[in-house]
Amino acid sequence: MRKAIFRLVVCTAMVLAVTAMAQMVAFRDRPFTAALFFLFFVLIVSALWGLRYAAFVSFLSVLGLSWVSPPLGRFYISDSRDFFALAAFLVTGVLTSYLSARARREALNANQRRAEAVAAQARFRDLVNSVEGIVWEADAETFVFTFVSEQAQRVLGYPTESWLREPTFWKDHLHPEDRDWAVHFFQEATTIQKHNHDFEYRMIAADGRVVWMRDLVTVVVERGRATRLRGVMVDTTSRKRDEEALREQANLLSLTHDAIFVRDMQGTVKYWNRGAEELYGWPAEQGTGEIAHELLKTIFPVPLHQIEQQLMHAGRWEGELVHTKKFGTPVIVTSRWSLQRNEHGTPIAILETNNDITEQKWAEHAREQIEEQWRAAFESNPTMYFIVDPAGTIVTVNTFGAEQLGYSTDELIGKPLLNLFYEPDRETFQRHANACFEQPGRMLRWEARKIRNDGTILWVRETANAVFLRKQPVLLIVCEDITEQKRAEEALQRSEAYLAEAQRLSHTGSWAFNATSETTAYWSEENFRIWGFNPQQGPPARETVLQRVHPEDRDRFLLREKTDYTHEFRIVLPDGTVKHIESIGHPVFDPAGNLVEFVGTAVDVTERKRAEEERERLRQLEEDLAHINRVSMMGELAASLGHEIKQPIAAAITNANTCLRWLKRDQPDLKEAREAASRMIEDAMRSVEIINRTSSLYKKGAPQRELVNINEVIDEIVTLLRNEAARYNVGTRIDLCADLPRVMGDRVQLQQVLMNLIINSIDAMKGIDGTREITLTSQYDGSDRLLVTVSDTGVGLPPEIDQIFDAFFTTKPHGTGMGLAISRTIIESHGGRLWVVANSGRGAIFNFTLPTMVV
Amino acid sequence: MALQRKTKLVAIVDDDESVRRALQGLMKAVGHSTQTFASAEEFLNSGQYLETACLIADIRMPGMSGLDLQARLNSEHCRIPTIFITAHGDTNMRMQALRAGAVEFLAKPFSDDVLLEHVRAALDL
Repeated sequence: MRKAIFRLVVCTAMVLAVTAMAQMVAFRDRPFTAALFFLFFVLIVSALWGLRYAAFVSFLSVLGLSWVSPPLGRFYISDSRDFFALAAFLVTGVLTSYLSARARREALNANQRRAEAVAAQARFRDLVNSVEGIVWEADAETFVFTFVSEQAQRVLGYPTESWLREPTFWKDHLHPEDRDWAVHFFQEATTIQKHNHDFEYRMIAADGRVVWMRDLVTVVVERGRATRLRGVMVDTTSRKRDEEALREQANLLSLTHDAIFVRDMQGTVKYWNRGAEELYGWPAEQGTGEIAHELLKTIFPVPLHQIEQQLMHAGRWEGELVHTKKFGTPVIVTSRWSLQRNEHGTPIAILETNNDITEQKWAEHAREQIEEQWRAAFESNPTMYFIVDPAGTIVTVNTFGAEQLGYSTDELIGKPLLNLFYEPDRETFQRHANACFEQPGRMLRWEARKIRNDGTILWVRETANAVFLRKQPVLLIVCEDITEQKRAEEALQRSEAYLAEAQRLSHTGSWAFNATSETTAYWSEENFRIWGFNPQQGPPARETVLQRVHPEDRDRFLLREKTDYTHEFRIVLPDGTVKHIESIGHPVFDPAGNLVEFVGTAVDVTERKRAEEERERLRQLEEDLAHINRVSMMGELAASLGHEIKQPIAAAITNANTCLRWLKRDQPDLKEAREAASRMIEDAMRSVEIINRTSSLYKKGAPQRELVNINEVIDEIVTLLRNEAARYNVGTRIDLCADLPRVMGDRVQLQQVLMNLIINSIDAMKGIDGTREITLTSQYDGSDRLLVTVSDTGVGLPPEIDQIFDAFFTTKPHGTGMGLAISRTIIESHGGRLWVVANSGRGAIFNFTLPTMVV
Repeated sequence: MALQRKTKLVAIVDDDESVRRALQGLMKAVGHSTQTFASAEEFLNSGQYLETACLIADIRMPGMSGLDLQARLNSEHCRIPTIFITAHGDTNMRMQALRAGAVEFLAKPFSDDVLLEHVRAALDL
């Protein structure tokens, strides 16, 4: 930019200078000369800077020219001729500058082309010279070199001039051993076969070195004749040396039995060792030169290019291949490939070492098969298997094991086994596991609870031992589900516990006695307790048991019948306690009918016996009390009873006297006398009856149940008490139900109840003015009980009405307070009820019911 | 003489039937005509007491006692010679009966001769 401005400024300055000069020199009359000045100047600019500046200068020159034209000193265009002259000047200027610019450009182009040609030649030369080989050209007929690249001098040390100058240069410098065949080969290939070829030979360098040359030759054929030869000679000395080194290396390896071959980067076998001969069956001379993996029909585990990639990257590769031997047998080998490089790092060959592992593979296959079988057993056996490392982490678990716990195997592997145990059992497991690891090979067994994924409990029995797996100690655990068994066990234990509890509560022991060996086969816990033996010591011997039996009962105890039996006997414990035992025995026979054993129970009935005795004592006491009550009543009634007995006796005496009078007559009236005697007998009988009735009340004895007509009992008692009632002016009214069913009861006791009630009523009316009346009724409504009432018009009930049936409650000065208490006991013992209500007018009504006997 | 006395009635009031029958048999043996009553009330209600020459009565009877009967007859100015026979030889009772005009007060068992002597005496009045 700056350059352009500078140029424009220079152009403008120069035009101004020319104009000034033209003015000063006064070209007024020579405008053409002035125009030539300007044109010259335009030409110079055009030649120097090109068309654009020339045009600019032309334009300025027009202005300058017009300035210097007359009238001088100003821009004045007088007529159209001036226009024309100026335009002609401008066109001429521009055209001149265009032409001069073109000429200038062409000159520039020609220069550039020349320079390019020189550069291309130089580049080609450089290129040829930089080729890692000698590029040459020679006459096809004379074999004289017409061109050799500079490399020729570098490779062999001879100046290129000598190559071109000496007609037999190539032949003369061949290695003597190669000269004949190489020349021959070359001539034949060139002149006869006329095709491109490449071959290898040795040349002798200027310093005497032997140089291996690989020569790639192109034959140029014109009109059926080879005219020219071109080619490249490549120095392969180092490669040859590498190959030699490799071969030496491989020869060392041939000492081994491994099959080793070397192949070049194209796959051609370059070396084939003895191991390879033995393994594959091809001798070295047959193997060498073949494409290795075609010969061996290699089956690769992965695509070959992948292997090669790895080989290039890492320098080596290892894997298993399948090769085919000469006679078609496949062979499995482990193959180790190692990439060989020369000193420049260029890969040159692959050394392949192969080991026959066919046998090993078969063994492996067999092992896999066995392992598969084991795995199948491990996986599908309905048993849980765990393998755990010393840290307690699950190394392996079979599918069944995982599923039983509600997990997948993946969820369990790597997790601590301890977490699967029910918390309270974890410590136990840890202890057992530690013990296993401490004594490898020793088998331990335990039971524990595990928790399933869903939280439920699984009872397991585990068998474990520690073994070494790949030199690491691990714990093998076989685990069975015993939940059902545990449940059954628990149920059994529970029912046993229930049974033991029932036995304890009912004081019932059970036992079994072996009839064949005459020994105790089984004693329940309660049986031990009853007999006072220690359950820890097992069922005691028969003799020991017999010692505990009360001496008086031993015979009975030893008696065993062949049918079901019940014995009662006493035992005496060491501390002197006596127990009553009720033993039930049941004989058990085998199918042949032989007695095998006795099973039975022993019930401690001591308490029952005691209770029975107590009850008996109470009953006796009650009986005694009742008797006392009766006797005391009879005492009270003594006067009345005396009167009652005296009546028939008095009547009897009167009748006896009457009888005598009839007989004493002069004419004894026997008929009347007999009547009187009959009455006398009746009276005597009646007195006996009264005495009997009275004495039965005095008698003391066990109650005797019989069918009793309660109406009769009422009659008897009323008769007995008639005098007593009469003594206190008490009227007696009886209203009995005619169709009364009988009751089961003790006549005397029922008389006693009625007597108590009637005497009470009489007592209640002793101090009463007005009606004194006792009404006795018996009622029956067809139900299962009858009702007896005793009502009076006495003083009525005391305020302590609730207590009148209590023992020792009395309102009488000399009462014992036993009458009503005993009466209620008697009625209740008959299954009836005794109660009292107030009478409507005055006094009280005693009622009792008795269950009827429907016959 | 025996025939003359036939019309003279002896009334027997006792709640005990055997006693009544024994006394009736005895009276029959000595030729007295008798009428028996089981209670004082029965005797009073029968109206026979107006013809009764001698009354043999028990003292203790259900309802009206022998002494009550005597008091009742006395109050009606019907003085029947009365012989009490009782099993309860109570001195107070005997004195009360005799003061009220009883002929005799006998305790069971009694002597038939004593009784008959008093009955005969009563009938002879």
